[in-house]
Amino acid sequence: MSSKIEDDAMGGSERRLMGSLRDALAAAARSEGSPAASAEKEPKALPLAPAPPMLAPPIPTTERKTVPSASQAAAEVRAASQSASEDTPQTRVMRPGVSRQAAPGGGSRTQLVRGKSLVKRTEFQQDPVVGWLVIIGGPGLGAFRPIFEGNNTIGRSSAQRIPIDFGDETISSEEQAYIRYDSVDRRFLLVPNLAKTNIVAVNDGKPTSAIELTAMDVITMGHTQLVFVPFCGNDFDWAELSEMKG
Amino acid sequence: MLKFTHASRATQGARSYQEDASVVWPGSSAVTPPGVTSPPDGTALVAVLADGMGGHAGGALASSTICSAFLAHFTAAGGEGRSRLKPSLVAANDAIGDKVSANPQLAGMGATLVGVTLGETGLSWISVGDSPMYLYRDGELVQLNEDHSLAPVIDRLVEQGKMSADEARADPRRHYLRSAITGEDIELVDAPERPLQLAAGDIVVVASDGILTLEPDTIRDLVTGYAPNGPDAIAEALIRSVVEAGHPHQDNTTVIVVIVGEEVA
Repeated sequence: MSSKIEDDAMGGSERRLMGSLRDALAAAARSEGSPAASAEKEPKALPLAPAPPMLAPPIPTTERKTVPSASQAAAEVRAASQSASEDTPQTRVMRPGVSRQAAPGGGSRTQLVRGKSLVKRTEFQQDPVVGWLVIIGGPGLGAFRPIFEGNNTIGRSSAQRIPIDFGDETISSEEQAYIRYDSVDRRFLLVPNLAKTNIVAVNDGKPTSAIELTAMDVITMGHTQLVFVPFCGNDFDWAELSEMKG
Repeated sequence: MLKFTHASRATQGARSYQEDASVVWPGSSAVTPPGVTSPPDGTALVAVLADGMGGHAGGALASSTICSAFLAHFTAAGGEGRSRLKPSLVAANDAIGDKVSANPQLAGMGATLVGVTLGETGLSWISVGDSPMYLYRDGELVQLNEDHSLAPVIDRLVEQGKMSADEARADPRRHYLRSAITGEDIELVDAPERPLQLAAGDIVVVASDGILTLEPDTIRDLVTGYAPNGPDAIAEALIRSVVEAGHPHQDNTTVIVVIVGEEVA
């Protein structure tokens, strides 16, 4: 946000030296370049003791003690704070609601301040959704049902964890099949219940044991066709939130 | 001996509610808590500004809660002015947390915060968010506090050639905050270890980010032009320029102007 330093109309040799001193010191505070490099830039600058960027700039050896410019004063404050908090770990944990970008450059003055009402993101108020089944054929066309972490019973009874309760009587009332997901493997498995009369199809096949589901697989139960849509997986899992917070 | 004069002005902009809050102490609009007679040694003024977020009721409540809680803690605390800044920030954050706990509907409300002490010992600040604070000296205007919005991140993409300058300027995510006072942990806090020495003629402007409708050079020129007329004139000129810019979605804008002068014996 700082405006360009206006170097025109700098009357008097002392102001001109001040300008070049300011530039050199500001550059030293910003960059990791050697002090020799910044001294070379301004041959008329006062001889500076080699000043590593972390130290406060030395007081200029003019006879009259001059007030630093606004940008130099700001740079001094910045430089002093960098040296003071060099060993402060710069954690950039982002909270939901603010962007997940890391802070650029000037993170040296930042500190962690403990808040009071810490929202514990490991405590869900309801089962978090990990995927969906969308009905694309048969009763319930256009509707969807969420899939949850762990084992999900599928059947036409409303008491099932995934209830396909739109009126298709050819789906078993309970445990026609199971969909399993866990945050360790991050895979979705469809496990058919071979004890049931009705046969479950996945795409063109009729699995007789657990098979892994991939996005947009079509599951057919009775007269209903369902498309599988994953939410969690390699790119995301709810466990990541509690890891970040911890 | 330095002496300080100050003025504050605000505009609601194009919004139907005012979510900014600000206070300067001692000052006519600030209530002095009982038992507190004067500011700590070396501190002549405390200025606090908060720009609220979180929807209509929440934003205004957040910013006013933060301002009053910060100031209440500051005035009651012991010790040197600068050392009171961080505890006052924590008190303000806790005040928001308390309100959210008592009324969960307010969850998500919060505000930026700039708390500044000015006096013989210099200028010290604590800042969370993107409300800018400027130092004007000898015709130069510099932003002192860190910008905790996404704007610096987006601008860095321009430097790296990953985005055009026009795209960056128009990107609505510029105003997303990376840090704010919401009652939860605050990860980004700008609080320099040592004060900035003040000199007679310095002018400090604390503003909410609505002022960014104006280019930094415009702010600088307005301060230069109106400085001889005092802090009220500067504050009015800044607000008037923001209003006259006529931005259709102009955000609330508040400015606190402090002029550092010389005490004449």
